[in-house]
Amino acid sequence: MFRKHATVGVYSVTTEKNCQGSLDAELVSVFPSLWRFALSLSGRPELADDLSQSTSVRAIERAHQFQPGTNFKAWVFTLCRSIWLNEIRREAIRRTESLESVRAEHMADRFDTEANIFAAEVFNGVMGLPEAIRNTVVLVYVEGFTYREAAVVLDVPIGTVMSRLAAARKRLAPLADEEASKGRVG
Amino acid sequence: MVTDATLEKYLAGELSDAEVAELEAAVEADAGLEARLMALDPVAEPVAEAFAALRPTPVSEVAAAPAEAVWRGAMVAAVASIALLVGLAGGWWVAQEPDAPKAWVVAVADYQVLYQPETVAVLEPGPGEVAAQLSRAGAAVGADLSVFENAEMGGAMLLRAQVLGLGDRPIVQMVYQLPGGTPLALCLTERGAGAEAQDAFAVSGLMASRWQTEDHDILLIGATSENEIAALAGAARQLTDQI
Repeated sequence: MFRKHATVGVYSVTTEKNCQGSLDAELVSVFPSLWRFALSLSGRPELADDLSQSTSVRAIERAHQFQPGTNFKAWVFTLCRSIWLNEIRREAIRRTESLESVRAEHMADRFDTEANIFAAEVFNGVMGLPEAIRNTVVLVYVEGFTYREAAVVLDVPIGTVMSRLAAARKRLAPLADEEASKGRVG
Repeated sequence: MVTDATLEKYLAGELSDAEVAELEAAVEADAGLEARLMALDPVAEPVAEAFAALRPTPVSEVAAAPAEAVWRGAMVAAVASIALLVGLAGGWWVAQEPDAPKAWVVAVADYQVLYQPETVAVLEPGPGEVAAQLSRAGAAVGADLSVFENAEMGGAMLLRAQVLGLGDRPIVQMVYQLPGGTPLALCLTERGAGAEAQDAFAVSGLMASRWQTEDHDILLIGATSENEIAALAGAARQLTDQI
């Protein structure tokens, strides 16, 4: 709960857990990563907003379940995936919303496609992957999870992580090769 | 011993199914081999760079957004904690803000969004208290703020003046209460390069107006409508023109 300090007019937090403040700070620090992962799950920025918001709320509610010393980011991502599958994705489908993935050129406010033509191509390539492959790619390539860490978050065997990445490479490697060859020419 | 050449063939999709199965079993059993394989992956870097060019929604905007979906109940239950997130996000977002002159505006907005009608309802300054606060605050930013004491500003009542700061940059916050009880803040800092005026704009779920005097950058911000913030800004400008 919030307790007001009338003399200085600011707020502090009183919680049953002394660790709450540091957990909130951790949550803020991983939030950009959480939003990217939420985008990789949902494919759409407005759903990523909703999903990251909902995940933040859930993480705060369940702070007591987090084991200090374990991987906080992985814990939050696991919550995020669970909320996506069990709540938001289901609700979005019920409302017959399109789950077609966004493209970089439709995100002008957050992606400068003219300045990052190659980045936009790669981004579109990733967002065009099937959902399960897309979020595996983001976990490993963007967020730096090891295969085994990604397997825990996604609740799949490590072999599945590797096979999903192999499928992603088939689609994305030509883009990487093209850029590498430009670099060699340049 | 699995060689790098074998790992590169795997990554290029050039191994047979049997060789793939054998290698993946070896990776599963050996974290060191896993690390080597990850380091050689030619797709990892371009993908990471592509997503680095993407600007996520700031936590302040997500936390301030209305909860209209299925998790409304949970949002209400945890609103206090989320509000803290908004406050904490100030520092993070400011660090991300590429346009430095706007950084203080975002930091102030992320703080101001925590102000509720109850926050200002209990502020009852004693005789001379606001005058003393204005004197101290003015000294911090090199301005005579005495004009604000007892001044009419669209019906808003001045309840407190205090000095905040962003890094080593002092920011004066004058806390007002609108006739309906809504909190409003008139904030002022030393003018920096690139400061720009905006009649009415949304930031962190609040409405704001921004203008400059010769020496100061000024922000009026609160949970009001676009028309109301513009009207209040007109009244405030008449005062700030005098400092």
